Amino acid sequence: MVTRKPHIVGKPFPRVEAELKVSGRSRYIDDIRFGPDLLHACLVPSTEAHAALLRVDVSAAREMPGVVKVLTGQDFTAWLGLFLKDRPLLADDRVRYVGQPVAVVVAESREIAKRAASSVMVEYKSMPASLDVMAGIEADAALVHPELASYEGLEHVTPITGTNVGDHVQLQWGDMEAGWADADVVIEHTYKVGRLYHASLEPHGAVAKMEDGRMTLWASIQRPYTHRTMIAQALGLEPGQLRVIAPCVGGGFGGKAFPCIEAIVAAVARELPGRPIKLVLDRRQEFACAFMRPGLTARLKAGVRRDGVITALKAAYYWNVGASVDAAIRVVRGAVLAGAGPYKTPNCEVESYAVYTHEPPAGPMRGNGMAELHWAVEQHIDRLADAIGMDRLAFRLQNLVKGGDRLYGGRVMHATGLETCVRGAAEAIAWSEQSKSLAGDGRKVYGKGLAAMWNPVVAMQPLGVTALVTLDNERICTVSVGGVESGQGIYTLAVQLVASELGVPHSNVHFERVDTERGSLDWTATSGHLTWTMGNAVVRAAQDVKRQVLSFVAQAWDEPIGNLDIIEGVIVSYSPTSERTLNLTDLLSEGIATADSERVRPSFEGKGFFQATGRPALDSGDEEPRIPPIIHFSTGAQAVEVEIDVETGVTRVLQMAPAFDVGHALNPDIVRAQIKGGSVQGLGMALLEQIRFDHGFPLNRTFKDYNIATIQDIPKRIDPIIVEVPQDDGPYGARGIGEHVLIPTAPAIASAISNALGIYLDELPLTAEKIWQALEIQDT
Amino acid sequence: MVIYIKFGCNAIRRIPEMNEWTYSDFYLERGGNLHPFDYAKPTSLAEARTLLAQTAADGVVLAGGSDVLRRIEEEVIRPQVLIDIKGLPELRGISFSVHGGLSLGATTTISALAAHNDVRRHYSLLVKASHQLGSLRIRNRATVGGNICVALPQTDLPPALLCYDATCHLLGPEGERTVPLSECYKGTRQTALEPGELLVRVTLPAPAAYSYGAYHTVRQGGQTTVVGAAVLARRASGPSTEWRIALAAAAPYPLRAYEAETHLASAEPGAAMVEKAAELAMRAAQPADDIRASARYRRSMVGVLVRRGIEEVIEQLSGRGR
Amino acid sequence: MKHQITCKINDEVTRMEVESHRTLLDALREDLGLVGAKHACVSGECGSCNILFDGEVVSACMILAVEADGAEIITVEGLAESERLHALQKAFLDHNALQCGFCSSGMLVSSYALLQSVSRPNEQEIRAALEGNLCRCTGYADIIKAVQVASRARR
Ligand SMILES: Cc1cc2nc3c(=O)[nH]c(=O)nc-3n(C[C@H](O)[C@H](O)[C@H](O)COP(=O)(O)OP(=O)(O)OC[C@H]3O[C@@H](n4cnc5c(N)ncnc54)[C@H](O)[C@@H]3O)c2cc1C
Ligand SMILES: Cc1cc2nc3c(=O)[nH]c(=O)nc-3n(C[C@H](O)[C@H](O)[C@H](O)COP(=O)(O)OP(=O)(O)OC[C@H]3O[C@@H](n4cnc5c(N)ncnc54)[C@H](O)[C@@H]3O)c2cc1C
Repeated sequence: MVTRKPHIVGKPFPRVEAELKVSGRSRYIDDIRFGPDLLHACLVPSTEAHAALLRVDVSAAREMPGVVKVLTGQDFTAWLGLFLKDRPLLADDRVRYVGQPVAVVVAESREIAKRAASSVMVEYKSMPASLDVMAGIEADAALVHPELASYEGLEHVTPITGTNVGDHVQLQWGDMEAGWADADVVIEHTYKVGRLYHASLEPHGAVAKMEDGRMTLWASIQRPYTHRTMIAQALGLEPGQLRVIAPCVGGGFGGKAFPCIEAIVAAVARELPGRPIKLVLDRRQEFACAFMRPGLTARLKAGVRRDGVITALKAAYYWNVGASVDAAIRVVRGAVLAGAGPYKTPNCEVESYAVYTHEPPAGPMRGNGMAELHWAVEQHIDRLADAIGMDRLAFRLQNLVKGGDRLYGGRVMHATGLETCVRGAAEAIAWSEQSKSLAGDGRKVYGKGLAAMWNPVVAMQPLGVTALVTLDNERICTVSVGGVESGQGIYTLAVQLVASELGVPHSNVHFERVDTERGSLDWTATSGHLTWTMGNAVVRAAQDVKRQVLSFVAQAWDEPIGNLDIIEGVIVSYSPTSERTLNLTDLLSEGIATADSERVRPSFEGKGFFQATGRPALDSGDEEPRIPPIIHFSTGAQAVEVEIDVETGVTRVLQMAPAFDVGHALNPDIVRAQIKGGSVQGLGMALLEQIRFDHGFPLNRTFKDYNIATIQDIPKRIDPIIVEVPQDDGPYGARGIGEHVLIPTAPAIASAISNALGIYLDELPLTAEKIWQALEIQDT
Repeated sequence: MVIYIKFGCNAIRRIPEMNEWTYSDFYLERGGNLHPFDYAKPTSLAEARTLLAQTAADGVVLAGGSDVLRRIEEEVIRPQVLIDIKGLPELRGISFSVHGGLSLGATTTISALAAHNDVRRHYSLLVKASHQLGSLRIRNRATVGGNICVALPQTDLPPALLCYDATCHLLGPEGERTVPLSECYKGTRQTALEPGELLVRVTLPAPAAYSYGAYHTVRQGGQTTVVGAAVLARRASGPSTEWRIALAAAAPYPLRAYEAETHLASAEPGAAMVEKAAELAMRAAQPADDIRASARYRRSMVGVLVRRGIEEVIEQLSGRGR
Repeated sequence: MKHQITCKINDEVTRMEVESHRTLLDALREDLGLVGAKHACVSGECGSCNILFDGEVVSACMILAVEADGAEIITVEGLAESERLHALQKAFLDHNALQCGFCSSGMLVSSYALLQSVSRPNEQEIRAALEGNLCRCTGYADIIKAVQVASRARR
């Protein structure tokens, strides 16, 4: 008799959806057929950053044969927003950014829709636009939302009325005066990050159909439940009237976490009941009409003593949220909670401002603001260390937050592997050995850099998550969760956890794609903590279903339930008298004779619910009602070595050693894959990526000029280091990983560049030309 | 629940992953990305000439399509007819003779060019430039003629062709004529081709007894050359060396740096000669500011890349016992 | 204008009627249901719609369907032999060489073409073969590994 539990958690394990993907059989939104009734939508995007709409002439479009409907902002008055409704479905009386949908055309074919859309005449009256964050907070700036004070949802945010500040928060602890007085050196500097594009390979796409008063929306999205709530609200539907289904999703990175075109498609479908409406963006529209990562201007001022103690830190974060702050509220709020970086800061003042500009709306991207924020903090830490002549690694090690340290507001830091990560990463690139400073021909220089990070898991909404595990004869075991598989491997984890908890071979466990009708509510679904929230719910659901099975069998066998277990798919009895066994599959297919000798073929449904609570030690308390509780911090570090061609400025990353504390690596292969992928995304962000605007007009709207890292840009070696300090309320001790991996890479690369050249670069990206320019200035 | 998807008219496949929400009646009409046009594929030059004359401004020549289709998709151009020239035998193939030189049919793909043995042996700079052009899937379609006729500054092959003194053979309503490649460019997206004229082939003079070329570029992430410099040295039998320098993305079109070439041919060898030549090349450049780089950076990079190219070539020459 | 074309797709002779302006990608996806090749940029920039065209990798979005008359085409759907995955597909699966999967078809087709011409490619050759294929998820390293593993498995 087998008595050992199969241990498939913590082991490599192939991705459950990978076979479909490698054989080209996965169905993404654009691959699904919707029948001959399908209609096609096309958007008419604004070409102005800020203008009054004098006239939207759709008459030519309406008359085109094959055009079914043309709708403008006059037809929809609804606004979208989860916290603050600051996004009209279609432009109302004015446009607020280039690319804002002004009208939508629906036609029998995509070609007709496209042609009709380009025949829509829009008459604009240009108005001054506010395109700079710092100028935008001044009193005389052009306002993006003059009527902000009347918007719905103000109870969630704190705008400064009459300005472009859509939300702001502040946090202060310790004694700033004393901190400044204690400092030997005070350094003040401003750091900048421009707008970035999520660039998932699959563009946004949605199909909606209204039938018998109920709507179904199929869409490439990351959070079906968030979409359902927001879109139902905007359209005046009950959540139950809207069914949201997420097919295979080709990447998201935060860009698909909030509705954009999906809401428009749904609104159109409501006008045209009975026919499915489809809109899949092409790449140029995708750049223009979807979300962009917020930009950041960070002003940091810090005091440090010669012995390496940070005495005071004042940080002000100004987020460029474009024309909408709603999707970026967590970014803005999270910034004060993590705004001092993962360092001991007894005296600190952090402010965070969301500043509206006439640019595309902000959508959070992988890291939820933390990548932008650490760009500033980590570079400032380098400057502080350099100013007192201390090694950058030693300075970090001295100041890193450790488990048990007191944070602000009486909070106490939980156990963390941060220091292990920093040491491990540094060691992996042989930190103590200086880089070859000058190569033979003097044209190449080398440098090493390091950055640490922490990422607070912030509970903006109640993090309620349910999972279902069903057992039936047809599919044996099915796990259904509310989070979407967008590449991170979440279904594989779910299958692994169920197999392990229930005691069945993983080949018996199937996953189900998200369908809000089938109910596994999940509000989180992104943000690198699905593993933790969904994982907990899945474990509980599996335990629930197992209890049901065992009690059913216990009754039939007339044995105490405590005698029974499921091992490798076999229900076994440990009773010393009866050594009975029964295959779970047999139970499901043939049933079991009950005590009154009637054969019953059972099926079971187990439910698991997980509700994260702000833990007392990290709870914000009543005095800061608008600051959400932090659940825990994920931590990690990145170390890199770079080679710079000093004549051209071209920088190559030679090696990366990313290290992250994941609590417990439920599937080490997937964790390593996340770390590598995030590191390379960070590399692109550091060296290449930025949307360039000309008077609010995004210039690079294709991959030709918005360069993400290619296979030729990656270093020869990326060696992920997994650190495991268990999370006490995580499934098997796990924390998430997906978001964190992006955060420390850009500052680590900047750190290596300043190590090599003695030049600090404060604005991303670090293009060849920018480095060349800095070297030229240094020379003169 | 098992769902069957009908593919096309007869094949039926089972899609195990599909949930019950998939419609079972299948007809996927997404519609195209391109506005409607007609397509013609002439099989003889005469037929092509007639077509070109008939369609005039409404017809556009289609070679590899890597530029044309993109511009149609972006709605920069809206031709009525695409005239596919890949069926014309005269525009195909590579031929070489030691005395006659190299002849490249206009529809030769970049991949075919780079793989050709005689090209590899005698015109290796073309191979180096080819390897920088886009990625394999582009090189497998893009043609030599197309890379010339787009007349874009950042094209990678023309600088190398300029170094080999390439000549374009054009065929139009008035008959055939030849134009040196260096005189083919009139501006960005403007060539010396008259309406209705086709580039039939490009010829390169017989290879020198010895030649060596270098192609250096600044390219970072992505596929476009920010600046490029091709440098070629040729020797007949004697010790005198002939130099060629041509630039990519440093002017409205691919450009030769004549003064720099002359300087190299006449000046005393040494570091000063190289510096001076690089400086002359910088002066010849007429770079523009654009999203990829500033004019200042481009000009400065011309200096760096030309110097590196010359140095590489000199090192190679001296390796052969100067 | 409509054209009758005949080509061999994944070893099956296929006749189609296509409009002049239809791209090969649209014809494959919509007329034949071969949706493995993806619409991701439709301007030749990302490699997600790569197919083999007369033995060479090309982007199906940058070719007209009429140009495929007489051509031999292999798509990702044609890599597996009957129900057995190709060594590359197996290696991609085993080595985490995919995440969201949207670029995978193109990656696999490009890698397949590489292995047709170089049986044991080194890292540099793999990079060169895949430089036109964008991936936002994996960071490429595991893709390189998978191609190497597959090349060894095949011998
Ligand atoms: C993703 C991508 C990356 C690229 N990267 C590079 C790169 O790195 N370097 C580079 O140089 N280029 C690059 N290109 C550009 C492109 O491949 C070249 O310009 C290519 O050589 C064009 O050739 P084609 O055969 O595809 O031309 P087509 O697109 O068929 O035609 C181009 C133009 O030339 C005209 N034309 C073509 N042949 C003739 C002829 N024989 N007679 C008269 N007119 C003719 C056509 O009418 C059209 O106007 C890239 C393109 C893409 C899509
Ligand atoms: C991913 C990708 C990569 C490509 N890479 C290349 C490539 O490397 N080479 C190539 O030939 N084609 C390349 N192409 C194809 C070709 O670039 C497009 O057909 C072309 O970019 C269209 O140019 P445009 O419409 O942006 O600019 P156009 O207006 O057609 O041309 C202007 C271009 O020329 C440049 N320019 C103009 N004047 C000057 C000057 N005085 N000095 C310097 N530069 C000047 C500008 O940078 C601008 O990009 C690529 C296409 C893609 C999709």
